[in-house]
Amino acid sequence: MEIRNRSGFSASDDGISRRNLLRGAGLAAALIPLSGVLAACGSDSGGGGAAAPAAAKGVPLPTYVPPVKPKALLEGSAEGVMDVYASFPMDGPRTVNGTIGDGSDFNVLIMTYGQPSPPVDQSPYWQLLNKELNLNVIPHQVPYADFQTKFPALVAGDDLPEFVSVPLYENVARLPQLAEAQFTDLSEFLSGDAVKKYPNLAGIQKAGWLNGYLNGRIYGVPKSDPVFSTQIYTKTDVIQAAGANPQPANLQEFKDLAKAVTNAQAGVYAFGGNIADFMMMMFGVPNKWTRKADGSFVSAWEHEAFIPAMSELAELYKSGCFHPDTPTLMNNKVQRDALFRSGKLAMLYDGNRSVGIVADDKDVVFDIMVPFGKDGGNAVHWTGGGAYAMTMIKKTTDKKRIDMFLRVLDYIAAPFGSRESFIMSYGVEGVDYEVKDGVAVLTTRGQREQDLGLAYIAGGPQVLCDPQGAPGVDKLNHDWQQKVVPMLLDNPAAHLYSETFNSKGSALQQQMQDAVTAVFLGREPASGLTAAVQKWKTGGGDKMAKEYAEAATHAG
Amino acid sequence: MALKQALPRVTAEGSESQITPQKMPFLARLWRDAPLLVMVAPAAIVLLLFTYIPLLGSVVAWMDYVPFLGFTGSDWVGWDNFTALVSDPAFWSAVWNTLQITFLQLVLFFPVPILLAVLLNTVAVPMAKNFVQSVIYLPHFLSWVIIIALFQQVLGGAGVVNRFLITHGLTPFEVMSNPDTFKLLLTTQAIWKDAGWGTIIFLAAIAAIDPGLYESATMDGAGAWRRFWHITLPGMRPIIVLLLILRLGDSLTVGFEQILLQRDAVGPGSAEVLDTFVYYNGVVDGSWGTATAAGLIKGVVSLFLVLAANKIAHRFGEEGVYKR
Repeated sequence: MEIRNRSGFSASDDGISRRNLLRGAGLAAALIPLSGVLAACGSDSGGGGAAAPAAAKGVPLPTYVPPVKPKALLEGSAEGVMDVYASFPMDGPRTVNGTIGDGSDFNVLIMTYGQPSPPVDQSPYWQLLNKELNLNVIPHQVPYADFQTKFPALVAGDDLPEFVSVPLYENVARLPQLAEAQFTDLSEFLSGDAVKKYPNLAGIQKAGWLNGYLNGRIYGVPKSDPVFSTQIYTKTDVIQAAGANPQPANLQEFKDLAKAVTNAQAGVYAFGGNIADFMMMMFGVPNKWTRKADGSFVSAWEHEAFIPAMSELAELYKSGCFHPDTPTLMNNKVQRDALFRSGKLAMLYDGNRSVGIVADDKDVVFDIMVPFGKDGGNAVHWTGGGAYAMTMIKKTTDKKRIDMFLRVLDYIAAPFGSRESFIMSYGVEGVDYEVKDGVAVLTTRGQREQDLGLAYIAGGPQVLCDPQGAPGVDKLNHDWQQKVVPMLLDNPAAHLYSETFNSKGSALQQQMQDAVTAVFLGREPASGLTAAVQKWKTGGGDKMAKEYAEAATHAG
Repeated sequence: MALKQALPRVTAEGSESQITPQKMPFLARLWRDAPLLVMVAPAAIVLLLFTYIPLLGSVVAWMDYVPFLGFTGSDWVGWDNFTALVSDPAFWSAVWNTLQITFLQLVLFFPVPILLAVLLNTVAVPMAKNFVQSVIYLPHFLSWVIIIALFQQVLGGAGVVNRFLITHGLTPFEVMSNPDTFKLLLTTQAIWKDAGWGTIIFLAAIAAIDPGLYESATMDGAGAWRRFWHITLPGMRPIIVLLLILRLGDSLTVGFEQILLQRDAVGPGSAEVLDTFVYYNGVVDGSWGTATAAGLIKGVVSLFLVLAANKIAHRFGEEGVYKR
């Protein structure tokens, strides 16, 4: 669920506030378009592991036992629509019994999004968690902006702490090999019914577990992610003032909308970032890969709609409805958010998860655009890889230690509505939260202290619950999700292993991203993408296709 | 360079015996030089620990190095990393961009601190001089993120200048995201940030010039320009040459952070330099072997530049970094 921080938000100038994530639902706001184009590619990418072709017969995935949940205000669905709750139950059942830790230090690497939380002696929230877990939790926080440089350095220097949580969209190079070399095989503890010893971990779905499943073994515990990826937020007042239609049904209406809201004299523009993914989904470009009937894999870059989609994108940019600072704004989410809030951008292309950030300011009235095909009808909507992060324990044979690690994650993964989940989300009464009209309300201090980051590391399905945010937003999101479900499109390579992707994926991705950006900003004609795709193919794309096809055959 | 020359003099003044340095017993020399050696020790240790020992790690340029497998567990791949690099057009594009930026910075940036120092030296009022010095030093202490944000706020598409142009119905200009002028923009930013800071050493060089020379020249009727040309400049020349050569040594390091922050706005075609290439193709991908190979190539080119510059300095009768 998602309680948007308000005043506390200003303290962290970093639009992506952890507090939004910590609530359970609103994971990693807007991470998806963080790095601009195609970033969604990073989120599933299979890099998080998957059965390597050489795998012996794999162990069964953990048995799924749906968590007991309170009655939702609006019910979700098995397809991925999230449950909506009006507020967090304060008297939820206990889901973890007995003592968890042994009083030892719990060093864990976590990627975070805001400023570091206050030190433990000034944080009743942290003290409470230490007491609950009977551990001395020591988070090693790596800010998201530093992760791509810091993590390889930690690996190269053999400085990883005992417990490591890796955000999967960060595309950590050679993660499967790293896991095998440095982390503990958890299969014995989690495979099949064994997971039932940790009931909250049993509440994590298969799609999540697949991210930590490699060479037929289970190496990591996932933090589940909603299936929805990115969307366009529309600023209702700006669009109304321009007398435009906020819900276009096809490309032409979309272009009309962009044109109508742009007013250069007043400094108002339709967009401030790259919407390449949105255009591709509108044009029906598949989610990274297509698996053909003969079992071969074809990249989405080779899809016939890719270049036309980019051509339209370039036209749109050329028509002047993008903010003049777009070349720099594309990589500056914080500033884009601010421009959207202040009405200088009429639309914001961002992650579904960032709804909490957008709704952070109660006065911001916005809507979410339902995707549409270029000629009307449905678009496609790319799904993610099922997990945001995967948490592992360094290689050990100490079964008691492994059991303790899993019990800690079992606590952290407690489902919405449980006592443990409430503690994780709200902390200490009177300090971190106050009860107003029977609803727990986080204090500014509580929001600050939540910046510990533990909620990122493990967990099952998320829910929408934002008693402190802009009213009606959860329902808005729920409705949107229901409309998008028929458009969901998986990446058939999401959980397959490719040696080439694993070792060269990021550089290849960067090449294509650079090529798309060049077309978007009008530096290169869209036709130039043919050469870029060819280069991508010879540089490793073709090999990836072959490897995925083999892996898929192997996996059956 | 100066070491050999300086040593006999120190000996002549400092030693109590008449024995020439070569004939002094080793222990005696050690004892005599102990204070100097102690003084130089920290620097030597730092150099050893952080420069020479890590050099051994260069072997990963010939390996498919995987950190968690270590040196023994990673495969040797011969010259594969190098062939992969030199056959990659993106690498050559990065090399070319780097050289262009290096050249621009040498031609446009390097003289600025010298001129500033000379100008500052002509300011007679100490307070005014101190004030100007403080102001021009200041940007050096700002991080690149802030400098680029400042440039963006002023010259960006929606910056102060363009906002003014747009609201007055004029055509805005594009500086921050124009690939054609990006290298000039980089150099301008570097000048704005560091030119003031760079004056320090030149001011010191000017201060070391005997004021008597200026007095005599003035008496003989030399004007400001002649004094500059015949006294100030020759007085600064050894320092200028030394700094120029040293600058060449790391001139291929053209500003990683500054470029990384602006790379996407103009594209890799004009903004990919060796350092960012290594970052995207080596560090992020975990291809340490390729990254190291690129680093080695860069090191070799830098070495070549230093040697060549030194040679030219010798031709012109300068001492350069070391003596012939």
